[in-house]
Amino acid sequence: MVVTLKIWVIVVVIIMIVYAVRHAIFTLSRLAWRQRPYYQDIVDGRMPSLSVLIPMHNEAVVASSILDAILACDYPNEKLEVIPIDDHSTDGTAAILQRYAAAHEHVRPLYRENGSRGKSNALNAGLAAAVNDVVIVFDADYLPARGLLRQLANAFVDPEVGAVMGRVVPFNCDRTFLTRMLAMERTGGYQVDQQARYNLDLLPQYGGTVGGFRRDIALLLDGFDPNQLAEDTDLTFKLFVRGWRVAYANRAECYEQVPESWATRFRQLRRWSRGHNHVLVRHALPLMRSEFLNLTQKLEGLLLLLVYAMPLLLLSGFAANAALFLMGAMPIWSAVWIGVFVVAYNAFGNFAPVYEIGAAEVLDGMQQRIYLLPYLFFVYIYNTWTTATGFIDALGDIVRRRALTWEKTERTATVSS
Amino acid sequence: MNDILIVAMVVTCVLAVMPFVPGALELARPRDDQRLEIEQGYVRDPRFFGRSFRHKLAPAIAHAGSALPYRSSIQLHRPERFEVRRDLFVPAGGSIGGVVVALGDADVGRGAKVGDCYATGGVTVTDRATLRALACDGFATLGQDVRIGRWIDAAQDILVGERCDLGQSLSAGGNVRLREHCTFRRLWGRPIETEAPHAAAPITPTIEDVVVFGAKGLSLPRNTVLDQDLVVRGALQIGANSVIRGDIKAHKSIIIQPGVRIEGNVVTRGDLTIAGDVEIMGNIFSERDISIGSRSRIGSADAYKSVYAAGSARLRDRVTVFGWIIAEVGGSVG
Repeated sequence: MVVTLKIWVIVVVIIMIVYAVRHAIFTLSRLAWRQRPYYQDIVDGRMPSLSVLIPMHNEAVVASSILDAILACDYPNEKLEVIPIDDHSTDGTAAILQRYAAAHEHVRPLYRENGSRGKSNALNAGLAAAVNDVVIVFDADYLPARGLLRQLANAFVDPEVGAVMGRVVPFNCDRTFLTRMLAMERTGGYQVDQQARYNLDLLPQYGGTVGGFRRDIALLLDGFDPNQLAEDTDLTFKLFVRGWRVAYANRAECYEQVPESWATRFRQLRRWSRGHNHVLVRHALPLMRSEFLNLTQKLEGLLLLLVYAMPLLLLSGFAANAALFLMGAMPIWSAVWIGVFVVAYNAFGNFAPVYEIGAAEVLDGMQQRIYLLPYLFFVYIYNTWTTATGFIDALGDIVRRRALTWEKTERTATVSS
Repeated sequence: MNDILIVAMVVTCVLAVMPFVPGALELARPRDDQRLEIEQGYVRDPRFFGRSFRHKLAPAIAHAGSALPYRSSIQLHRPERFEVRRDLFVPAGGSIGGVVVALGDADVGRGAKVGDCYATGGVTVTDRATLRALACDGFATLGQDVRIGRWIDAAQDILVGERCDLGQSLSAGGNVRLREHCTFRRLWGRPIETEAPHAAAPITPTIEDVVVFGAKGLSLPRNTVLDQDLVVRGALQIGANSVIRGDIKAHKSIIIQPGVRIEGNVVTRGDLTIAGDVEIMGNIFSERDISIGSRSRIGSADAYKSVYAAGSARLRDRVTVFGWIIAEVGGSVG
């Protein structure tokens, strides 16, 4: 028993150190190493044709904003179709879409009143209706800038790119303490994490909004699985395993609304964790067996898949530590190694994302926010609890073969420029 | 003992709380709580500098009226001397600072120095002159060894003499013709053409008449015809007179031999070397350096395209590019 616990503690510490090194490499990549260019400088007289899908469930508050923003985009109308997908709305979303469809020939709404609700189902309906080469997806509470569609579409000059992801920027970051923390998390996640993965030819993620993919590939992969809550991560791994790449466009920025209450954040993060862990179960083996990825990419893919399983792993490490302490069996290896582990674990393991976020804030010119970095400690404790709950949900789903239902994140305001 | 314990606890508490103090101040009196600014109206415009400059000057020019010459000041990045004339003539060796507008043609003499210049007519810049920035609504002709500090934009054609330094950006509503040894960062023209008769000859074809496929890459033989996209996780060499009807990408360098026609985009994470007489209908994107051989054509009159080099770009003789050329580290002709 004692030996097993000791081995488990060592395994957890080693995994944490691996994550720490990963974060350190990402930060170095952004601050000191060569940046890989995205395709944003390409100006092309013949852009690919785009289908913009916008799943909407009771989005009357924000529907007009996003449709106006997309219609104002600098993309030729003859190469563009906009497909807002009304997914069982009861709040007047359909009437708004009808108005836009009447006024704009290339706005072709879909109205889903039958079948199961949910983002994957809505996207599948949109995918079936779309006719263009490239599909771009936005959530309804986003506000794309005029040049965003071109920036995203440019990625497809690269025949190896199966999907593209832009950068999400919270617009309501000044509302509450939580929104300020989430703004910092997002900044670190995109400005450093995603860009570094792109720099290092690893696995940037398609995030399900402010991004797009080739329609024919998505159809070839049977669209989106309605039983997946993280349909975006699912697509990311389907693509990488089959040899496609995801491009990351750090300058293709788009505003989003982040949760303003802890309860909403809890539900969102729990859903993400649940969905992500389903993807872990589905893709871990195919990832390891893929002929199209090298060892570094496979390792990075595995670390990415395990992200939402880590909190529970970490908690199990703490529990094993506590048990060893109570058994009076704390010395694991020699004192020197314990010292090395403790320093590495605490200085880099627990707080590794902090310097990633700090670097991201410096890159964004938001220096004052760095003072808030210590407060992320409390957010991590909260996240550990929330994501662990999501992990347990996922385990329950798998064991009981439960069908998943989509839960939309609550909107609190209209995104406006 | 108790005193020491109390002191230790107080010190521990102070040390534990200290990291949170600056953050508490930021939360109480926020200085960085606003969202990251996204310019919602931004669109990529290769002629941005010229258009923006004209837009900023328009009210001041209107204010000048017809009483010329008109002298005042204008606020750009900093306050600048502002002058409006009917025509602008700067004699050889002369100098005009600030912002000068010619409501007609402009003629800058040999070795003259001019600040920011806008002419509603054509512009002739003689050898060895230096301009900080130049916009004109007509044709622009630059002599030899002219130096542009920032950018140049003409609504019509631009003819550039030998050894000119074209600053950060050159853009034209019409054709751009560049002579030998010019250096640049960004070029926009429909088309851009080079004249560099002394440029090195195209690379000699070395490829065999067989497909060579190995761990390091792929070589396609001459006269290959391919009707689909091609991705190579290594280097790629395309044999002479081949036709590729799709996009190509290589994770390492790409060498395109003479007479090749590619109907799609060319993307490489390494260097791109294009021999002579190559025709590429799509965009070119290289994460390293690009060399485009003599008589090669990129894009077409009815579809402008981009040539992007994260490193340098070198254009040899009679290269024609319809659209945009960007060389992040610098480009040259010859």
